[in-house]
Amino acid sequence: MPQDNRLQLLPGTLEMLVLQTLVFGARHGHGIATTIERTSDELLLIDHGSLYPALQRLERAGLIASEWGTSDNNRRARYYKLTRTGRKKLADETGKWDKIVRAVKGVLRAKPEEEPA
Amino acid sequence: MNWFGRPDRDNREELEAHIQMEVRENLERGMAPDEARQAALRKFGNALAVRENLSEARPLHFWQTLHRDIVYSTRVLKRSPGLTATVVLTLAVCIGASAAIFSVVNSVLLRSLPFPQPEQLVLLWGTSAAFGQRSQISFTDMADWRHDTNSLEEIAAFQGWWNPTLNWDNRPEHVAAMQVSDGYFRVMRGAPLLGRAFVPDDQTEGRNGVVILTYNLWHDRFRADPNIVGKAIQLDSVPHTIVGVMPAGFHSLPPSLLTRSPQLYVPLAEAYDDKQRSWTHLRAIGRLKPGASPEQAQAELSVIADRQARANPDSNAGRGVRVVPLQADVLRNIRPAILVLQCAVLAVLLIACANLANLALARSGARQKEIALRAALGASRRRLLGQLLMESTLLSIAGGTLGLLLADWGVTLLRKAGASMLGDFPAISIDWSVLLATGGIVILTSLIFGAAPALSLSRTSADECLKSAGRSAGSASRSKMRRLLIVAEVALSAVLLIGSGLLLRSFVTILEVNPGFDSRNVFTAEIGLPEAKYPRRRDAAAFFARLIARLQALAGVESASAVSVLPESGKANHTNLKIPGRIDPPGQELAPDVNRVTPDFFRTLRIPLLAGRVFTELDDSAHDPVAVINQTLARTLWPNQNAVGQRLWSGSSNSWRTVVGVVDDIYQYSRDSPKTMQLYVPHAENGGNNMTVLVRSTRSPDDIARDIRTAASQTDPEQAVFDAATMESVVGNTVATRRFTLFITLSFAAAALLLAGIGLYGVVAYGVAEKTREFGIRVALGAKRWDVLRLVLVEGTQLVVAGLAAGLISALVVTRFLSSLLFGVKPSDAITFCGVGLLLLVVALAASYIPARRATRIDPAVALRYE
Repeated sequence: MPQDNRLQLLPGTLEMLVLQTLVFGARHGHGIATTIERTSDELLLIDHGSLYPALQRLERAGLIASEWGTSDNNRRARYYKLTRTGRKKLADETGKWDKIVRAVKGVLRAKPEEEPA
Repeated sequence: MNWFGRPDRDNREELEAHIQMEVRENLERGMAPDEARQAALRKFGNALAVRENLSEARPLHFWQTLHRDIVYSTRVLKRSPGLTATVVLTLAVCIGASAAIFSVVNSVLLRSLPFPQPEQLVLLWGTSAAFGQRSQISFTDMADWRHDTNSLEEIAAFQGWWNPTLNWDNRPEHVAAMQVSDGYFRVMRGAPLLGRAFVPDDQTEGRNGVVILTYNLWHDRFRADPNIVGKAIQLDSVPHTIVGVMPAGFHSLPPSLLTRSPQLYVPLAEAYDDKQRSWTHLRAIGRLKPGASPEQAQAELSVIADRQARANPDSNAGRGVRVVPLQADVLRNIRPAILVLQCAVLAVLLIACANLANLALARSGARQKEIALRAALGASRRRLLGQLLMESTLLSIAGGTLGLLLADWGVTLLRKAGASMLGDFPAISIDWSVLLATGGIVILTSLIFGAAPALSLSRTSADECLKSAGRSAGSASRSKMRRLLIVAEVALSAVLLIGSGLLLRSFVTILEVNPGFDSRNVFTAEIGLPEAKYPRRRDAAAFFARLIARLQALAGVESASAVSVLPESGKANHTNLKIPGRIDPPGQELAPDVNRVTPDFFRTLRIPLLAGRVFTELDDSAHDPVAVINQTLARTLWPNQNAVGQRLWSGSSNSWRTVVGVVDDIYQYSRDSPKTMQLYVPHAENGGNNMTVLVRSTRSPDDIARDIRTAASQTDPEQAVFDAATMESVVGNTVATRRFTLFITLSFAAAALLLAGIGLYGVVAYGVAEKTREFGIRVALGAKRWDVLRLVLVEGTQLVVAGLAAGLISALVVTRFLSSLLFGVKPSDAITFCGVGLLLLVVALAASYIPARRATRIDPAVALRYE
């Protein structure tokens, strides 16, 4: 099944990804979900339902702000945008993520260590 | 950030929009519309759960849940109106009645002593074999104690029976005066508003023409004149100078000690024969030193009294002293009644709680399935508990509010009833602490039992509940609990009913006691002649003779007379008595009641004459002193002889008298106290300025009252008449407390019976409902209507019989404590016990009958399908 190929999202990373998708402009919930899936080439599995609690958490933390607007099919939809605090947080999280990735890669590529004599 | 979070509506809309967009994309991908929506929903996960999660994270979630619970609970309660009404009414009646009664009781107990540090106040009564444990003392007694005591910081003597005519601004008016020694204001801790209190000098003859006004008198009569100190008024035509005014917060001693509330204070002057040790006409009150106890004072004063008795055998032999805390003394008559009332309230409270528990258990049984279903659908235990508690809370709020209204109404009712029955009833209002306490108990019970179904969920699995047909799991233990509660309720009701029944019988017995005279159609009025105007005996004798003659001449008056103390008034004057040949040990001399009467007294009250004759106009000071005695005294003095013609010596008139007649006994005190010895002497010979006039006439009391006043002012224009009342009301006062207690206890017994009946009805009705299938089967198998009826009735009666048995046995134990209130009835009176048993059985039958009839109408076809 196509879903077996998808990867589970590490906890905490969803928030980071959401913030990233909002860097270039406001989106509504559905748009955020589809963007993440698209830009990850359908590899990341997001339960659309768990997206909304995450959005609420982000909004409570002041990292994003929301307002009602009209979607392209003329429906009322809630649009989320990044706040200044959110932008800063994104930068922090991205930096941390890079460090983690480098660290993990380092361990995985490590050559067998030479035993101290 | 928005503090209130988003409304659920918004979230729903947002999620729906999201799903719509996904559906649109799916459609674009080529799916069919159904499939598109399903795929979108699947991707979304459980929408409801999402919404729940979203909303639970919000701070407003609590309020939303609350709102939802309230709406749902209201719907549930409306669905079973009978049950709801029963619970609310039970709560209301219970809280209202208990709060009202306890408020009254607390007011009576607490407000009767509005003095600073009332627990330090003690009364000092004289004791002797002749006059009893609560007799009066002399001025010198009090002075001795005061001089030698170490445990009391101050002692004062007082007397409250002077009713002089106050003359100021040429307007004479009767006032009530209290005579006090100089220590009185120190004992009562009263500092005067204007002027000064009394000083020892005021107590000497010649210097006692001073008076202190009470605030009310100063305000009403003297128009709150700030310069009143130093002005002179006339009391009984004797000039008195006003030396002080007491403040508004200074209260007088309770009327039971004084006969009326005083309007002014005068000093006890030693000239009032106060040097005489044997003149015991005063009462004494003292204040304990901080840290001293009444027992210490008692021990100390007894020693002093002993010393005085040995030093002055003539006057003080056999006389002791008794120290009684003021509160205990004031309440000594009503304390047992109050205890009975408190027990009655407690019983009703318990019965109501049992009923509530019963109702809640019944409800929980019926809703077991509903709760199991909701649990299976995903409701958390916390939420179920919350919703059930909400139901109980709503019921409690409704019941509590109604109870508050009932309490208010009850207090008003009690105040009116008390005032009409007891006369001197303190102003009472709802005692809030009592309301909270009773409300708390009852509401707590309803909450606990209301939430029982959710609590018991852990014991039974939801599966079992849903599968079982007919009875739900755990109902057997529930049923047993309910039957136990009913048995307990019936037992309590039985005890309460038996108690009230005994009180009722006592009351009826007392009313049937022959008082010794005929109180119907007799009117009374008090007249007090001022000493200054009527100093000699014959002056008073002449006045009353003229007055009586005037009254007897009126149309419609059968007879008129005067007496010094009314029969059955609870008061009496006493005298020492001696006869030749009889020596009584010191301290145990005879001390009968003594009454000065005009000749027609016995005829006016229709007291039967047993031997000899009554007084005539010839029995005055010009002739030999005579006396009439009552049968009890005759039997005591001359048990085997004819009393007529015998001689006796009476201390109050210091003279030898010949007995000319013997009359039947009358009750001087209430009818449940023993008959006393009574001596009558002619008024014409002995005088007496304070008398009560009696008029027997069939005319209306108002007419007679007017006539008496007219006749009095014709005889002496300055004379006022007071305390006019019918003899029947005087007699009625002696049973007033008893009647009031009875009234309340009967009300509570009725309430208890009603509650027990309702409870029984509930249990039997639910039993029938639970057994519907069983009855259906029985009828289908050939049982007749009568058989079904019998089954239900038997079940109800069984419970009541068990409760009755328990109740009767407990009653036998409990009523023993009532014996001080009973009269003429044994605590184990068979008639009362049997009567109550029958009453409860009848109630049981009535309560079981309705559900029984419903059981007989069960259609087997319907019943078998019913689950």
